[in-house]
Amino acid sequence: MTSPGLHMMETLFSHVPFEQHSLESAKLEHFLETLRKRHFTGAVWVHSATNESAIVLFIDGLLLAEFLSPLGVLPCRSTTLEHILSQFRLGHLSVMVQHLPVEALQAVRLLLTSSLETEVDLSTPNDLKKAIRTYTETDGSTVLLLTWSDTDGCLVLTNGQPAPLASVFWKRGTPLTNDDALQAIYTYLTSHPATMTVYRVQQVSAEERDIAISLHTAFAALFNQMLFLYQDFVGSHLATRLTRHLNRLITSKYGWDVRVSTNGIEGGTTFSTAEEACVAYEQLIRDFINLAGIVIGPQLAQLLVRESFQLLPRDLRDTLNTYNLPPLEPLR
Amino acid sequence: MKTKRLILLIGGLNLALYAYLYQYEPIEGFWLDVLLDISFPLWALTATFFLYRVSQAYEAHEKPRRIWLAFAAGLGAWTLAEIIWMYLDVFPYAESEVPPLSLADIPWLIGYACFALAFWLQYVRLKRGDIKALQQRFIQGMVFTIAATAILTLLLRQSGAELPVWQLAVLAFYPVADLVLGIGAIRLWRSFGRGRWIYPWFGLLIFVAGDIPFTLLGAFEKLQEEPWLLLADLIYLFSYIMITYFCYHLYALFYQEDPLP
Repeated sequence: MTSPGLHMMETLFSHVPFEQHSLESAKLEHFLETLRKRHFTGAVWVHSATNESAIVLFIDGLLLAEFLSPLGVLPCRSTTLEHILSQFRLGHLSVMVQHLPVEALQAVRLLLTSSLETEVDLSTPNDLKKAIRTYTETDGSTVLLLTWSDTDGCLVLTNGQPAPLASVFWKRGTPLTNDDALQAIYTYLTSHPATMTVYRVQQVSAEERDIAISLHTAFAALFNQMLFLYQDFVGSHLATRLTRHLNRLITSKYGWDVRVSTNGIEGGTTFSTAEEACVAYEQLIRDFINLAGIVIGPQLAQLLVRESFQLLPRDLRDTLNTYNLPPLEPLR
Repeated sequence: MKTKRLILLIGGLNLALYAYLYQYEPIEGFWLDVLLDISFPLWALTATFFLYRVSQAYEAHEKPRRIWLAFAAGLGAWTLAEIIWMYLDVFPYAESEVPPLSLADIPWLIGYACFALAFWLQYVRLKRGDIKALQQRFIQGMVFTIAATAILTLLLRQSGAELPVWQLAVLAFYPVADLVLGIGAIRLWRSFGRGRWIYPWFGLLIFVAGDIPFTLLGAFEKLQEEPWLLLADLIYLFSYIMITYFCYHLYALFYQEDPLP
């Protein structure tokens, strides 16, 4: 049985156009390396003459996941790139490359650790609006997979965020994302009933969630201030680029249900414990310093974080201090 | 080939070609003057273009826009100065030397004013909420510039320079202004470290460092002597290549998707 993530790929990506290549197996590694260098985002499907197949998913050139099927059906076993390369050592390979939006891969990333909850029919946009409301008021993250006979769409929801964190809709093979996708899904639903499959990502206990929420509130205030100061300093263009890089890292490397925009941080309330959240927040601050440091230098980036922290109300600073946030080097 | 490397390669070839044309004069007259002079405004124009495009990446209300617009205006003024100087060298003064001061010095001086403005705007962004201390620094810088220009003018006068005092003062102003801009750039460098934001300022630092020997040699009337003239020209051209190269780094940050570190 395939995992929800692979099920999604089976359905969601089935109508996405792809580039077909034929190459010697010895050249597969070089082929994937070239894609990586080009910051490829999408899926690479590999089939051998002996009916073995594999999928390698990339976001901005970073490896997201790899699957292998020795039986010649849909790749279903999570594996490593090294293992895939060792399996495809002989003969000719058929390689299909699909360019996919980051949002679709973000949904796949969440689906890899999710479980099927229910499947319902939707006949009007109001049914979907009701479902979105329900799942944004429910603990944890949820992925809604919408299936029509000729197309598909998906929404990533998280508790406490009224708007989906990511939305994708394939319209005549062309992917629409986020606000455009959501609007197109509503419009399409008015005349085309859909089947909605609900995948739940994780659940957290109420007590732990309260602690995580208070930490999240403090962290969100800090991060929003950091982004505000950075944007004020370098302008919206570079600030948007930084958030885009952060989102790619979050999706591909860490897999958190957090999304960063120049307006601040969204999601991230579903970490099961405060400690788990703390690790994520610390990493986000470090990544912020690294990325902002490319533009304004690491020293000034650290100074922005320090200044942001000092501008926070006392109670929020205390909360962050409890978890040794933000991670800063001592002043020289 | 990456554009950054390409700029360095073209710059290297330009320097070699300049030295060859200058030393061996394979052609003569008008075309030799044109070929020798044209590199300077071209590099200046390219650097202006990069910084102007950076300023255009911002919304009208965004504060960093004015920094890079002032910087681009400074480079633009210097481009104009180079074009005027080239015109003077090729046409009215084709058979003689362009005087130490000419019409080209007006945009040259305007360029310094634009860079001073760019520095002010940058420091205001950097030292938010501490404008008074910044104002004091700028006043100190201006006092230093005036005093050092006056002292250098006096030294030039005493060394036997035959130009009128006001012309000597303008000539003395250039290395002093270069020094002040250089100090400002070094201080920014300390704040920004390796960040790309410093690159145009770093380019300006290299430029003013290259300009100081040029203007001093000019003021002491050594520029007509070999090998000083060729050496000064090559350093000056190198400085333009470097400022263009470093301005491109910031431009690339806006207009090309650089990889993640």
